[in-house]
Amino acid sequence: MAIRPTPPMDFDCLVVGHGAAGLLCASRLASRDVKVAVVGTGETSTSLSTGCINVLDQIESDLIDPNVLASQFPYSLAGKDRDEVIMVLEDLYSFLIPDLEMQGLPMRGNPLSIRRMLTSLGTPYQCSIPQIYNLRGRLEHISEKGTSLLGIMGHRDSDPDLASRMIKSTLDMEIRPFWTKPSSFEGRTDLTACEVSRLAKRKDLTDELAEAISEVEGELVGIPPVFDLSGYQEGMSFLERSSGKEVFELVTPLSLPGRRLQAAMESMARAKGCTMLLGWRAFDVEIVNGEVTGVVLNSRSREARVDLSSIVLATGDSVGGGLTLKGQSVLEPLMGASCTLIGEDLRTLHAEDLVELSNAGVEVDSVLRPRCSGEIIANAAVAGSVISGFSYPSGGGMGAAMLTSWLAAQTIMEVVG
Amino acid sequence: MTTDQCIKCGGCEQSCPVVCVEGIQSFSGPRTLAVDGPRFSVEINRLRDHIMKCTTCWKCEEVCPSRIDLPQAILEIRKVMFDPLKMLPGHRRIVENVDRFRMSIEPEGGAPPAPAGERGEVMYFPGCISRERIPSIYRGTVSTLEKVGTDFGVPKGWVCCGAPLEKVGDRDRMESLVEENLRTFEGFETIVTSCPGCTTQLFNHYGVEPLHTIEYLYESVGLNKLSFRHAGDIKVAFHQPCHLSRTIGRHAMDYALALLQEVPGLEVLELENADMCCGGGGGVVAGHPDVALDLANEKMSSFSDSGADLLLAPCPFCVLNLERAGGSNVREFVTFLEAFLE
Repeated sequence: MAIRPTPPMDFDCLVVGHGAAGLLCASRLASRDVKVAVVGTGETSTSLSTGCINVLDQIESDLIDPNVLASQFPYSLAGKDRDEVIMVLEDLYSFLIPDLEMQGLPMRGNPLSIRRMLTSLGTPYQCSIPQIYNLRGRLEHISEKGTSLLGIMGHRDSDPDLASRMIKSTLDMEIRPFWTKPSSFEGRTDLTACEVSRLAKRKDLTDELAEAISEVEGELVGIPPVFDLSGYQEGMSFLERSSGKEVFELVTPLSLPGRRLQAAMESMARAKGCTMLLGWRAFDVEIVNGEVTGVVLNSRSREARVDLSSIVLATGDSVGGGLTLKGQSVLEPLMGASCTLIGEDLRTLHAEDLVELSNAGVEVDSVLRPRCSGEIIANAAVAGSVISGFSYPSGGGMGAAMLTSWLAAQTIMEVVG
Repeated sequence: MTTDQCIKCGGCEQSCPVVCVEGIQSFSGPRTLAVDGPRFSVEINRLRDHIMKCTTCWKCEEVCPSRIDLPQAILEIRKVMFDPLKMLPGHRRIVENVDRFRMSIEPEGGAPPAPAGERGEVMYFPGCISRERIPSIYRGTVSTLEKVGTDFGVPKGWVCCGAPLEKVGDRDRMESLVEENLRTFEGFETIVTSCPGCTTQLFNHYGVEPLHTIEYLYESVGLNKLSFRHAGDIKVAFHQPCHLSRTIGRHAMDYALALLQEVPGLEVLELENADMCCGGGGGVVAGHPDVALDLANEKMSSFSDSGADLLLAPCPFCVLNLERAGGSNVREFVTFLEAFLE
């Protein structure tokens, strides 16, 4: 592997990982005039997600008690009392939400209140800040209005018959399923959401959909995801205008909504002035006397060693490659940061053992710094689901991951002054 | 390499340009072909029909959370399935051309004479397309190397790099080309290529470290030694060839944009899905020309949305395929730069 001249790589902070945690952290740093670069490759968990921001995974009432938040990790890091926590959350969301809207992704909600909506399978789903056309389909709105679901034949994220049966059995609500078969699909079936979004850029598909929506019963109609980020606002408002109905999007993972959030956050980071090194891979971090001094980046046939004055580790969990498993240990491969231990009696693939396994991750101190070989690394911070306790399915959700990245940026700002 | 690490996220299918443009009925996608097909013994003939539609753009490997090298797995399956009697007509032509002309295409004649040089500091390996199909790329690159004062030559008796044969699955024939070429490479210190396909092939199968012309200009010549005259206010969009950006590396894209910034009077406009495959790779132009054309049309429609005057592609194969889609405004990157290089 040759080390040859590379593009100028001169920055104060390198954020490793380009999912929601990495991009938010980098954007916050860039907005404070820190020279920051984001390195990452591949699909992020953010782009595979529902693209909705949830703040806690287990909530009983419609409102989250800030006192409860203040007692829970990572919210406890934001402050000791409810007012401090609320202030940090307000800062975070007043930074993020307008910028996402500027990039074409309006999201609505409040971190402290819970919205209940429907997934594409007809199961209930709750989160704090959904995308705007998910929010149109909140449960109380659905029950007030005459609501139908419209399936698009050939779209693989679409099964209103199944969804309708699930809604009946889990929520005891009657929502009638309808189907449309767009001729612009030209007989193709099992289309991925990305194919649908490509076809949706042609006027004939959106026209056909608008007509089908106008013909189904009810004044509120639920559809599967159809538009990518560039077509989202214009496309959905066109469907509403042309059909004369309110249209909502069913909450759908592994589809377009997560990709929208990913794309909007990448654009946000670029707009804030972050250098995006997407396609490069960080694979070795040098640590001298408890401080990170450099990183080796790789672009397949080139390596570049870059001096660093700070680093943010936002590499994701074991699914995203931020953590690897070795025997009964979880390892953080890039820095060798200490991880939580998995119980010694972990010998089965039973659910409780798997939860323990997925809970494992990098251990951090009160300002999210990692520890390597027993030493706290002064100029590093950890963000997102690589932190112990944050990995899906037991993590606190994207909102909690974003909070860690917001606070990690704080730690780095103090390091780079 | 193991495909057992697949977590069934579907990311590869969502990002596959062939699935996106052709539909999953027509091309069942990286996961089915590389992971599920071999595992569940999907009927071999169904695999045969689909597997040659993969353009080996490496996008699926890039997005795979488990970093499974899906395109390499597909190439391994092509190797196992290779049967000289069951080749697609276009693939048979490639094999026949290699046997007759030692090139993947039939020479059309009219290519300019090669600069003398069987020894020298730099060897220029033009590749079949630049040499015989779009000789302007060959001329432009030779002129570029002359202008920057490189001591270079084209090796006498060079043959096709063998990349098309790897894509077809014919590894034995490919190996014979590798041996033949390596004999002609002796005496040169550095290898410079025009075609990302050749660059990748030389890198993976020859044990050498070739430089694509973009890498050579940026790394070996250096921006400070290049001076360009005013381009006369041209707007360009930049297509990122798969085998340069994903198999050679992103640094090549960073270099390309840095080179463009050196040309006064040139504005680089954003191209939507700049790194999406144009359909030119993987033996698809020869095997399934209709699929390659659909992808090229998709690329040309992004180009027309960009508002740019010219579409630059640092790959002879991309240029060739995009020209099939009516791309009269497509230029090979280095040839374009050469016009302004002083």
